[in-house]
Amino acid sequence: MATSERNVRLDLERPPVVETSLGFYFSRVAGWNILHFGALWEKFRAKYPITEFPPPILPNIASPPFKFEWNPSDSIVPIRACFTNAQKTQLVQLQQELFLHNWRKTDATSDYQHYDTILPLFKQDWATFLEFLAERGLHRPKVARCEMSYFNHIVRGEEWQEFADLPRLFRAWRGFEGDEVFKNPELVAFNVVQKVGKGQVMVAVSPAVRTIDGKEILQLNVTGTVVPTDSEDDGLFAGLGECHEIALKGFQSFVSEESMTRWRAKR
Amino acid sequence: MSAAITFDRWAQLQQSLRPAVKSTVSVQSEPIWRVAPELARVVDVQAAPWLSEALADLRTLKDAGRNQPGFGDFRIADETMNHVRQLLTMEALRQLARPNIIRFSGGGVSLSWVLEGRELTFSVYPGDEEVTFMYTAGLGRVVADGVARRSDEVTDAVNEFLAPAPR
Repeated sequence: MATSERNVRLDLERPPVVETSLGFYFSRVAGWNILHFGALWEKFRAKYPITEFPPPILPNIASPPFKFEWNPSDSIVPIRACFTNAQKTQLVQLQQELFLHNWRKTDATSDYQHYDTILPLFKQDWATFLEFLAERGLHRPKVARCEMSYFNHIVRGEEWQEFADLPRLFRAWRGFEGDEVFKNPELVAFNVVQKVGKGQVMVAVSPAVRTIDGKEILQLNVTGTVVPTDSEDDGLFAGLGECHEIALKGFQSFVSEESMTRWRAKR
Repeated sequence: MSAAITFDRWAQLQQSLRPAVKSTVSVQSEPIWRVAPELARVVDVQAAPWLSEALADLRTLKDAGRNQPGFGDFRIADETMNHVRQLLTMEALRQLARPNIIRFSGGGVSLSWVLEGRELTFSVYPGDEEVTFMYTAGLGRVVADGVARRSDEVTDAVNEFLAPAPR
């Protein structure tokens, strides 16, 4: 799945991860309007020639000082723009309140991209974004949260059959073995949030269907977040490093030994 | 003083803006609070109240599928299962009620809905990438049928079923 430069190290030969996301959430940049999305794309276009407009993210409003706002210069609905490379594996996500870099697995490029590989790409993209803001006379954003997420797919029929199997996948779910009522649940979904060091790990487990191939999966989303001490680059990237470490710790603690063996964890 | 509108008034704002624009703006298929930075396309099994049960029904049909010489081969291939799940999770179908799921000889699966005497059926045949559909009214009179190769063609068939044009 990933490696870390600090205390935590995790290396899986067959990681379940299909996508990662890292970046910053911030209070909206004063003066930013809908036209800036297109102008910014011109700066990214050579690297990311494809655009996508997925549903907007509603950031975690519990994390101060974030506030959801709408101004007359905004579009009726919030916009999330994605600038994607030609292989559709690397992309920048931009919304008025966030700047993220995603890696995603495709059939053509299925090898997992480690944090150490992705971070320099994100740093370049962030520098381009800041340069754009400076050119337009816009202020550097005040970052409210650093975040790193791992999106994992655990395929039904391959790694699990019934929800009663979940205790074999996750340490956090002990199941209801022998229970008369809950002996074989039809559906299980749960979230776990835990403070870790200066940040927080959020783990979400939910059943889904993957539309690209129609397979039933369990989504296992693991997110590490940290509120940075300042909005300068050094502090922000240190915060991202902590998010990465928190997410890995959370993942390792959350999944079972059996799962780690199946994903061929290198010791 | 900025004209900022806080989150708790967002729904109210959208309501107040809607009458002013004639067109429909549809930007998402899931509630906004469930949208994550993930871009891989997945549909939560709670996206429709019946989806979890329908997926379970489908698994039961597959498990019970047998080749019955002289009667038919009712085994459902994994590829067909995947195709049916892709169909079941399409946004156009998630707005409907729970479908009747029927397997038929040859390893195919049909999804059907009945509404006020009209019936819409989508059928998935093993090995085919497209979906066939048939919309009937009255005493089995075929109003429309054909092959849907793209999601918008499925959506068109559903829309016609829900709001039939006067004929």
